[in-house]
Formats: sequence, structure tokens, C-alpha cells
Amino acid sequence: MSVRIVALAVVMDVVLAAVPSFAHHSDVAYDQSKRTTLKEAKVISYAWRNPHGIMVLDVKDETGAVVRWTLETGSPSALMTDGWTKNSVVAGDVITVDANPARNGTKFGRMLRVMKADGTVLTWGERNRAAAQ
Amino acid sequence: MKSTAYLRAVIAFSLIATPALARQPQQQQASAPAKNAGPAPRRDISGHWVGPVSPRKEPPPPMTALGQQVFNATKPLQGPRAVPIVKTNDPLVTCNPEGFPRSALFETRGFAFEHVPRRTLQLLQYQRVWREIWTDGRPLPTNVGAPGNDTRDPRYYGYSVGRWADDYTFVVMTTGFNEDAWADEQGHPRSQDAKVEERYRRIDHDHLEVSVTIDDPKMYTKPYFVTKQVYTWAPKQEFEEQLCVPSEALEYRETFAPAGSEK
Repeated sequence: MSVRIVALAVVMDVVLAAVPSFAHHSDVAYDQSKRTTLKEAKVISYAWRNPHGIMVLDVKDETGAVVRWTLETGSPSALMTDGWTKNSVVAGDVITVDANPARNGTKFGRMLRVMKADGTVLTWGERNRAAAQ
Repeated sequence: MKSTAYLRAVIAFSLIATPALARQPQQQQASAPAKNAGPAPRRDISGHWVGPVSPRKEPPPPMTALGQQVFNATKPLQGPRAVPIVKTNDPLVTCNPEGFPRSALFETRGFAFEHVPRRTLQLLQYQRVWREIWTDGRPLPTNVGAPGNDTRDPRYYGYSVGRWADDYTFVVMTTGFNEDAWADEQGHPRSQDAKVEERYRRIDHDHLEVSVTIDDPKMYTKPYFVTKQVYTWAPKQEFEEQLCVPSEALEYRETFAPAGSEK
């Protein structure tokens, strides 16, 4: 089975529309009513830093073409609260990522959840967003 | 076919899991004292406290014409007027000082107090800055920004004095601000002569209730009670290094500028 994208722009208006921001910076550029899953994404680089991390991924689309995505993640402080360490995700890892995609259709997003090859799941702010509902 | 099944699974999981997640407690944002916390020590709020990125806030009272004008000129990254990072004029984007009272209203994940002779120091995790809160009985300065030689310069964090209202409530008054910082992350204003009151009430050993009120007739038509938030005793009593690094902040802004641009 060939590697396959999933760029599933799953519309979840009902469950996510009212989620408030817990980020240091604005997330208004991202559509919080949508959740895109990037499956079998190869981590090109991940900058673990303030104010937000920068995760660069290569993902194959339906045609097999490699598409580069850039996701912002929480700050180290915020991610450590959610159980991350600096080495949770490193260049070369192959992961599945859920993200709120950019409203303007560019290949940018706000990382929500990572599933590593060994099944480990890491999230950013999920508990806070859920508790605020 | 497989994609369709996956799509169904994702939607099903989302609908099932989200209400369950909603029942989980909000981390680092305690709202009630823990049953096992020891009693509050008398006249002591020293130690390291943790809280949310942004405490919950009350809506402001109507602003004055000047306040509204200043507010309208801000382009914040947070709140109902939020803009993408490429369009903001939030001073924090380039790592300018956060200033006060914003430091009590945003990026409040960690702070500490130390009581020392004649003053109490507040140590702020964000940007690793500190405030001097004088406890030697001196009044707040009244000549900040005034003409002449015997004056005080306006400051990002103002001038602060503190006193014990009772054995468990430490009250801080601050004034003398410059105009280069916002009152909060949503771009609300505060003038040079604003008087900000913080009340730190130690509920028990592990919980500190913090209330903030801005009295600023130049900007608001009546005092603005901004927030009451409970902070918790940090288990490790240790700061994280939470710095805004200008070169990294610029790279962040440039990297994600396309996400907020209009196509």
C-alpha cells in the first residue's frame, strides 16, 4: 500500500467552534473549526523554542507528491505542561499530526496532537481547551 | 474506501471524546483549595506560584474618549479583535517589555515572591524580570513624569508599594507608567497616572488568590475590576526559562506571516 496522505479537512463545527485560545500568540489565522490530519509526516525540523515551536513536515498528497507543511506548536513551557520534552519529536521521525489549518489555504497550521510511530500520543493544550467548554 | 472509513472513525472519535475531555480538570488553574493543603503562614506569600497563560477577565467598564482612541489604535493578537501576527502592533511580538499590569494579566504561568528587608520582590518567570514593592511605609510617588529636575521617570512596571491588609492579604499599589506597554493582551489602555491595586490573599499554604483593579479616570469611566484568579504552589519551586528571544521572535513572525496573509 503506498504511503498516502490524509489531509482530511474534517469539519467539526459543533465540537470545536467555541474553543478559546490558550496560546501565547494569536491563532486567528487558523480555522479552529477544522482539523487536518497529516498522516505519515516526516519531520524535517523542529525548533523547540519561544514564543512558539516551529515544526516543518513533509507529507505526501493523494498523487504521491511531497508537500511541505509548517506548523506552530506550543512554547516549551506550555508543552512541558502537557508532558513533552525537547526530544519528544526530532528530525527524521515519522508521525501523524492533527492541526488546525490556515484559513487562507496555505500549508500552515497550528499543531494539536501528534501520534508517534510507537503509538505515543502528545497533545498541546487539549486539556485546557476541553475544560473551558 | 479506506479513507472513508478513516474519516468516519475520526468523526466518531471526536464526537465521543470531546465531552469526555471536557470533564477533565483545567491544569494549573485551581479554583478551590485542596483538602490536604496546610494552613497559610502568617504574613508570608513567598514562594513560587503557577497559573494560566491568561487569567479569566471581567469585561472593562466604558472607556473615556481618550481610552477608546488608544484602544482602537491597538491591533492585538488575543481577544475579539485578534489579528494575525503579520498585522499586529503588540509590543510583545518583538520582545518589548511586557510592563505592568499586563504582567499580572498575561503570561502568568509562573511568578515568585521574596520578602526582604524594606521591600518585597516579585520575580516574574516571563522574561525573567522583577518588581520592587516597597514595604517601608513610603508613599507612591506623585511626581512621575512631571516637569523639573526632582521628578521620577515613567516606567514599564511603574512604582510599587505594599502593605499587609491583614495577616493573609498583601496589598500592592502601583502607579507611574510609561505609555509603551498595554494594560493587557487585548490592547486595553492604562495611563501614566493609573493606580493599580493587586490583592494577594493566601487562602492556605498551596493557594494564592490574586485580584487586580485598575483605577484610571483618564482611560475608564470607573474603576476596572479586571480579575480574581487562584494560583497554586509550584511543586518544584523552580522557574522555567521562559524568555522572548528577539531573533527567534522575528523568525517566528516571518515564518508564519503567510498563514495570516490575504490570498
